[in-house]
Amino acid sequence: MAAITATDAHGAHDEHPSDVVYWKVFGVLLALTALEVSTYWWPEDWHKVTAVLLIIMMVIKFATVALYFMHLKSDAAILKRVFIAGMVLAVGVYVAVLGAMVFFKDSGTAIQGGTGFNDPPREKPLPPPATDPPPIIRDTGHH
Amino acid sequence: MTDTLENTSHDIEDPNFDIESVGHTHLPTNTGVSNEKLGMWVFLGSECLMFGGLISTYLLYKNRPGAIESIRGRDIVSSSLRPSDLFDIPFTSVTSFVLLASSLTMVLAVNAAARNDMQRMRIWLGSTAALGSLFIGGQVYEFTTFHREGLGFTTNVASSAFFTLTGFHGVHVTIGILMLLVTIAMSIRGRIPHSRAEAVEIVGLYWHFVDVVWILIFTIVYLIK
Repeated sequence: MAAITATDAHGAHDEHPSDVVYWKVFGVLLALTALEVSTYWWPEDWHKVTAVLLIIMMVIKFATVALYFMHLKSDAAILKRVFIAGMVLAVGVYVAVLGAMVFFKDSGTAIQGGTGFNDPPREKPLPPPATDPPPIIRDTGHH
Repeated sequence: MTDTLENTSHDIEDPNFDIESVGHTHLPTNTGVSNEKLGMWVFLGSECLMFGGLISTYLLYKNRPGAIESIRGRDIVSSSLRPSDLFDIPFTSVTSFVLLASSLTMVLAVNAAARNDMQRMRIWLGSTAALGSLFIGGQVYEFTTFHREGLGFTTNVASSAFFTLTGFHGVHVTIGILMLLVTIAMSIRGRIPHSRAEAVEIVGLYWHFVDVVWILIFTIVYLIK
């Protein structure tokens, strides 16, 4: 219990924002979502920039909802820690897994034309057909 | 712990302390927050892991619609059709706006409950449930369209990963709607007095989490090409 500080206890007496603040936050979220949707019609050549922008906007929206609507901004610090611990653990584990699938050669991915783990197993190549042995010519001694 | 107890008006270790005198007020906890609220946050933290796994699975399989063995037998079912080939972004955007709006109505309900304005709280909770139902209706329509186009749950691994991820989210929204309706019913019967307004906030936490997960799914699954 040593980890529980006076700040934690004080945080429990949170003051929730007013309705006006919530409407403003919703306006920001709405604008960001509209911007996100607009990227669907952006030129294909911009796909790398678009992907980066989309991820940034996603993180901003996620944080805004968590901080304001879920009251993490004003609530007890322990709640923030519990949720962030889950998030960090999840992101860490799955980035590691996804990275492993991409970087390890025998992960089953079809990067170099191999079969993926979702493809049916490739049949083993058949052994080369047995060639007939050369005819044995016996020297019968008749010339 | 000492700091927490110092901030409370009752000392539970005092032998003369009468527990009945505080009625149903929450007792102080070691963490400074109620156990119910902390329990919901721990649950949401664990839910991050589950949705993280489902999103990762989709990312692995989305561009590899290879063949899988059918669950009906040993025949191989395969299709090169991917979920992303059938996405209707304008339609999904509308349903995303609807879910986002439901988060606003939810937080307004929580504020109304904190102000002891129970009538307004029920109106906002009902609005949230209605918007959530609209979102689920949109998802059912989307799934039906995909099925008509030939993309079923077992068509290929990409479709299985997609339907599992979005279907699990849909189930969470449905459970959230049921929680909202139960909260409204309890409020009408007078079982959520002002002293238990935190119950509405806990339901709200679950609802906002469902919205937050959709923010991730909408960007990662639908928008990033």
